[in-house]
Amino acid sequence: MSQHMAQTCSVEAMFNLAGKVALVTGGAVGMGRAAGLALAAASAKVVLADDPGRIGVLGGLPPQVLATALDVTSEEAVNELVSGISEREGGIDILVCGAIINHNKALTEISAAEWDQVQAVNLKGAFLTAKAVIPQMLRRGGGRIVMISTIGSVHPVLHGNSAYSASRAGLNQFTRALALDYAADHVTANAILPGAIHTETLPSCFRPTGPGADPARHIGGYGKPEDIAGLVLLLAGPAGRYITGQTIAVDGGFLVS
Amino acid sequence: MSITQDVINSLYTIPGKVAIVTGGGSGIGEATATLMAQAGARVVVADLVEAEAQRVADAIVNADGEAIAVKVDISEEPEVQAMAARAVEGFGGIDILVNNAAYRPKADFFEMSVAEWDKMHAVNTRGTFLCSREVIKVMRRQGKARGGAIVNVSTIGTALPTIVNNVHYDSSKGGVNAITKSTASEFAAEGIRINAVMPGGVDSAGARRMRADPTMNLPMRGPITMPGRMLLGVATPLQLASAILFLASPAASFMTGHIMAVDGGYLVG
Repeated sequence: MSQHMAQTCSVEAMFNLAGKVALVTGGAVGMGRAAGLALAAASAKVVLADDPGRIGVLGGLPPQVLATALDVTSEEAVNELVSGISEREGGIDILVCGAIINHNKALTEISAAEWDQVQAVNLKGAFLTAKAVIPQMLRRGGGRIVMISTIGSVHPVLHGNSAYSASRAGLNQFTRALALDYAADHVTANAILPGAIHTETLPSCFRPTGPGADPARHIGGYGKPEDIAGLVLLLAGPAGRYITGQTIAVDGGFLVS
Repeated sequence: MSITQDVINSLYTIPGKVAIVTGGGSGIGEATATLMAQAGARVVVADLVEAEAQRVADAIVNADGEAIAVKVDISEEPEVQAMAARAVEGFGGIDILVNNAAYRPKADFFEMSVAEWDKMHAVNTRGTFLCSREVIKVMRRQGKARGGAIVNVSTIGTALPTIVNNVHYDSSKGGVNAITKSTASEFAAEGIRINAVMPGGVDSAGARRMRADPTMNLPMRGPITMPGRMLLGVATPLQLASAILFLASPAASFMTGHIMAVDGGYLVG
């Protein structure tokens, strides 16, 4: 047993992504970028995709990371990007859906168009991306899908998040459904539920209210985008092979506060 | 060292950390003790069966790791106190506790004695409480900057029943889930993170013992025995160990109070 274990449980081998190809949407900023850079640091080839305005200013990337513009709500754009990567690399192994929009508006303030936009980016965007990527994963004999959801999808955190929370709750169940549908094809699907993680996309004038605005509720402190990197690599790598259909909180204990 | 090794090491290795793994003499515990030693930890392999604990500790030492074996019945307060004291004496402190030891015979719901019900809860629930308490005492003394991590091993049966004749086991592990959340909440401010894993079907020595022991020869019947319900098949102990290492490592530094299914998709199957 011990010799067998010594050969098979090298920590480095369990998290190494050499030879893998990853697509990260919402990859220019915050948790998307942190996820992409972590995948690259574990030796994956990574494509970071985001809005043209954001992706254009992204600099200083490692050589195996490519940045490209993408509107995740456009089926045509998603298909074009995915087929381009697949032709170049022979498929895609890892998909991280990190594209996000949130208007932070009370129900009486948010317009129907804004509601639609939130669902389009946060839910339909993941649908379109997964729909395009999964066939490429099947070509490679399996794959890993990691959705970046929110703790607000299971427990209200801030006021003005009704559209956003609904889109992310939909994303959670979409993830579970994918886990069921593609388990036999060795594709796993999980969602990360980040808690209070401070990203640069939050405007400095943003003054949230609600349970999550109370510092006393953040018993483990506030997080930074890199705090999800370890879980991304677990779910994307050999060590996470047996985990699927899960929504995993990375929330500094908010849900037990 | 390559960037890849650097990043992986900084996230998932635990060099010099002192880790107690209860039930470390076989199955998920053995895989966890061995993997943690590979990740740089000094491991206290604690088990009811001393020879098994010794075997695993010897294998770690033979592979140039650091480990000591301790015999412990986790349901007995003085033995748990002695285990914590032995870790401190041997390695100078405690950073990680894996509450993996468990009692798990099946029992018919109607014929199960009160003594059997109580023994199940004495080992799995009281044992988790006692080990957590004695280790958290040490972690608090060491200070918030050093902190600590506890990983409890629960069962997927607390979220979705697996087999019949298992009510007492699922109940005891439901208590483990509650202990996970309560202790996570209570000790977060002291830098102690507490999470749990919920295994589904695992091809472990304990599971094989359960199938082979004629006194436990009750039917394996229930949702998890239905063909195809474990979407990714039966887990190896190492697949659980890797999730346990993750939760104990810096990679999970912003996670506490989470109960993570490592079930090959049983909950969505």
